[in-house]
Amino acid sequence: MKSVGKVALIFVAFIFSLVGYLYIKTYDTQEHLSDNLNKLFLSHVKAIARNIDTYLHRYLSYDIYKTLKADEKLRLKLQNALEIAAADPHRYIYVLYRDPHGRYRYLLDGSHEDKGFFDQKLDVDIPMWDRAYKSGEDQIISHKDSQFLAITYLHPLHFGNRVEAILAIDFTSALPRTIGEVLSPLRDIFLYIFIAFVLLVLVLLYQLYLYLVTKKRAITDPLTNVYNRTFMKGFVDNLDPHNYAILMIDIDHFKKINDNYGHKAGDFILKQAANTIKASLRDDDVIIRYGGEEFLVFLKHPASDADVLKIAERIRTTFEQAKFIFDGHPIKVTVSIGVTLHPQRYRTIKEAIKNADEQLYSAKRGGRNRISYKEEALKKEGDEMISMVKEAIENDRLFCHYQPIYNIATKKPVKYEALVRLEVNGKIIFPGEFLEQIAFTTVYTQLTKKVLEVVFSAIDKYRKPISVNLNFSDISDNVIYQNILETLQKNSELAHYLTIELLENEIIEDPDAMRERLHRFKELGIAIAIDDFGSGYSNFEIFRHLPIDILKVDGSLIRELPESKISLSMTKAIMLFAKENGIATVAEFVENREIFEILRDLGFDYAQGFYLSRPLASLDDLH
Amino acid sequence: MKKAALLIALALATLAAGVEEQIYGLIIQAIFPKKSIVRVWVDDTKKRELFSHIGRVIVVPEAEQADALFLFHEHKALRHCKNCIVFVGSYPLLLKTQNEAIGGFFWQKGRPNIIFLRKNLQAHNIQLPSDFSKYIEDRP
Repeated sequence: MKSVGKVALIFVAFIFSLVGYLYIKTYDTQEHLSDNLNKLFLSHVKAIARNIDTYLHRYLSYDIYKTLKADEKLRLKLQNALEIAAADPHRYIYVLYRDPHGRYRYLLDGSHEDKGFFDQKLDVDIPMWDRAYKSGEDQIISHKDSQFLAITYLHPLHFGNRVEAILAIDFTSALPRTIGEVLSPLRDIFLYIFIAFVLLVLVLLYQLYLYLVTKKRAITDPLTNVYNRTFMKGFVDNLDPHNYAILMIDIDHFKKINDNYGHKAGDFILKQAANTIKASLRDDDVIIRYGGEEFLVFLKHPASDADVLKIAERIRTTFEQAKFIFDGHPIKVTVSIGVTLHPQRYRTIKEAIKNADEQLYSAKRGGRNRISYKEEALKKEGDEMISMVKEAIENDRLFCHYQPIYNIATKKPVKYEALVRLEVNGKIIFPGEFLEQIAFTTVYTQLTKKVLEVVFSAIDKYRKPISVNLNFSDISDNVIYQNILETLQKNSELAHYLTIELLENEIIEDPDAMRERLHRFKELGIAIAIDDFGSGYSNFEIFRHLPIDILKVDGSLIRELPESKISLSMTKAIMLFAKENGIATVAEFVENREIFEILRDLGFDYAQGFYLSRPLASLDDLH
Repeated sequence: MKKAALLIALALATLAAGVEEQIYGLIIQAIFPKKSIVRVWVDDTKKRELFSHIGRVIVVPEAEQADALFLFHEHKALRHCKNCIVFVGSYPLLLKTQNEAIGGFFWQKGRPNIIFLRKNLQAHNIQLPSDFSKYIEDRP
């Protein structure tokens, strides 16, 4: 929301700057045009001055003051001629001479109004007029401080070898007004564009405001004014689990409040609860109404586990000590809080929330008004192991060994089981040392992706059948599922060399989706095996639902075959089931010849174990 | 557009009035350098308002009470006033009153024009500051 606001602000500032710039440029353009028009008018007036000069020379030859003083008729004739040229914007056309005192006096005045008398003094800008007299060249005077005059054009009149008078043409302030009028349509267009821009921006701002208000309504719980689950969906998708701790807060015995005081009281308590929780948090923390009386809190960048627990305790004690008064009735409320200290240790943020929920349940069972969290989550070793695995993955220190799987009939290796290994400080680390600790974390997902990458690369290089161990939850994981599909899309041949060995150590949450995904794999050519069958959660039920090609009997049964009748009977039963259903069988942990021979007699198809071969560090030799 | 032109004209007139007020202030200061209060009589109703804003100046209702008369029209007051200091507001009026008026101030082609007549200044024994010497003429 904040970033949307910033973007909007930058956008509006940009639009206003752009429009402002355009508007300022309008004045530049106007000035430019004004200069050009000025030049046009001046060139026109220059021509007029030349014509008048020529005309005056027809009647005057030298000592024009004396001539004009003596001949009033000539004066009138010449003035009438000047009057023809006197029109806006050059309204005043007149001829002045300089008297012996250096003052300028009228000889002729062709102006239609404000006409000067012959020999009347006119106070003018003497230095500029003197310059025209002295240089004998035309001069232009700009009257910047005058409200009536814009420009005076001075044209010296030469008689004989000297300047005897000056023809002056005044542009009144009608000139800039005229120019302004000429340019006004252009200025108006820019003004309309400016107004249109401003209106557009206002409309956009209004739309943005409506959008934000609607969006806020959609993601806010109307009763408590905190975020709702709609907001949570988007929030958790973009959340970095390393930056948060999670609190799941539930109001104890909320139903009793509703039953005893009514729903209005319940609503009142929910509002008060939201406000109380908010008051205990910082601005960066996020509070969501998760359910009826459940609030989910994401604490951002907690300094330590102790800090998280301190905040949780502060919330709990605040409720414990507070008394909410509804309609004159004091209502005591307590809360139970479940905590997930390290969401990053869970495979998904949903699992981290689920853990907080489980902890909340634990706090409720423990008597309510308490905080619950997993002790082991605080163990430093877990963190260290996760970091170690993460580092090994990032630094390419993850690799696979390959356990050959033999065809019992031919006693030749036909397939290889990929076994993951890490290399840390020169030592090889086996999965038993780290798998449990990284389970249900994002690092586990990274590890699975990397193992698949190594296996696909080996298949591509050696073109040998390889099996890889995956959990049901790996198949359910969209990232891993898509990863496999994408790799096979690029190179579909790889599928025919791959066997996925499913470990039966988890409950399948969505059997239909699992079946669909496994069928998809089979369509592509991947073989599906069930691993460690005959131990733990093993159940024949699984064969009813899932398309299994290979059954790998658990090593604990195989090891005991020579000594245990029960193990032998169980193995026989499994074999019978597999044969009847056309499922291939594999025995693992074949450690000696005796076991191998029993397996052969029982009709097993394949076997693997140290009797046949230890895991190979590489498939290079075979290649 | 007509309204805009009218507003511009009004604004220009206001500005011109400001300049005119300043110029009359300087003229009165030059004529009466030692007087702390100068009583003037003005024959034009609109101009009276202008003079009333000039510092040290009091506009009086009767010409006889005034230290100086500021005339913008031909006026009988001139006939009854002997030895009055008269200052006029147009060139044609200055031509007509050149025997009585000490000078005139008027606008000519958008320019402020000042003329003081030497003979009449001397008759009233008025000594103008040197800045004003460029405005002193022997004839209008």
